[in-house]
Amino acid sequence: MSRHEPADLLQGTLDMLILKVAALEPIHGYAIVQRLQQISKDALQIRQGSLYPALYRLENRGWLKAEWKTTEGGREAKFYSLTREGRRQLEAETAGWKRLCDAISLVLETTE
Amino acid sequence: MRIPFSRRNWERQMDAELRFHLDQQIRDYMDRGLSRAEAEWRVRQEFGPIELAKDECRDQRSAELLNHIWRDLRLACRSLRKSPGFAAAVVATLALGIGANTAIFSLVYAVLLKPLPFPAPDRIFSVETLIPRQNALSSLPMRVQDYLKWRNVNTAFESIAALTPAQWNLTGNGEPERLGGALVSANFFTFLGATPQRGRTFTAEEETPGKQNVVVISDSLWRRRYGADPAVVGKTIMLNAVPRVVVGIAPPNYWSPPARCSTRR
Repeated sequence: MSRHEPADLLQGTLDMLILKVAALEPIHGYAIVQRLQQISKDALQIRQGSLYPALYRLENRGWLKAEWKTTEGGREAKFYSLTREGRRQLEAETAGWKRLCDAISLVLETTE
Repeated sequence: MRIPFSRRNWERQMDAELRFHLDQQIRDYMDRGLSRAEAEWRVRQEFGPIELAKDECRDQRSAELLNHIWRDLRLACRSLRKSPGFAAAVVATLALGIGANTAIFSLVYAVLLKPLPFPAPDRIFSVETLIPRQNALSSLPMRVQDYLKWRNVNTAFESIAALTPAQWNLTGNGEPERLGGALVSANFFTFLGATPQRGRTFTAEEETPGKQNVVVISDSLWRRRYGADPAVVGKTIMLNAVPRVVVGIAPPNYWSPPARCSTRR
């Protein structure tokens, strides 16, 4: 689906992060980027152009639902929120990510 | 999940969404003290090529449409499986409908549409004698005298040929056989633009009395009775107990007068 094959892991990670941020409350694309950079203390640099294809993909899979709403600034924006399926997916991905991290740190610590 | 099926509507929404993102970012940078030009430049740098992003979004839309079609198909299959009686009825209805249409079309094609196996079939006409003011027997076959007269004065047609259906008993060299065929004028084959696959057709001279004992046999008779032996050309066969010389063999699939005609002799 993506034109950048080597970015597979990164793409999967971005999906997970988007789901996580959208799980809190309905949120538009710009705010997702802000929130991610804020939470990660700017350690995560997201290529903003790849955010929207990811959002569309997640909506397509039924994990996000979108709705046009008015922002505080009085403009129309598309707000994304998690579906029930998206919540399950987020749990599964988080668990998988934790297992992967544990496994990697285990290897790194044992071979030290 | 709802799909905005109108492509223009979908594009407009995507544009609005991206525009919103860029505007917000520009305003943010301007709030932090950048000039408008600087802010716009920086946003463009950070966002990356916008057209590429749009293209990737469009890819998602195509995938979504496919997804929908696939889901609809699966749903259709599932509901058909749930009610096999209904499914069978639908399939039977379709089968009957298609079958009937095919049958009727085959018939219409054979009777009305299939072109005659001659070059320029639309320029071939059949001529008959009409008797005015007489309902029964209002048309009669042509007389040979009329044919000969017309052939000499013809300017309307490229050529005129005559044919009358006939049947013969073929005897000698095996089982006797009843054959359908036609008596034709010498120019008959040239008239229809047909060339024999072996031998020749008739010459004008063979129309004269005493020289008429020549025949052109059909491809199917040649294969069935004579095993496609080329040496048949030039041989004499017995038709109605009269010896006739085979001068040629008609091309395969060549039209011959339907046997039905020959009963009204």
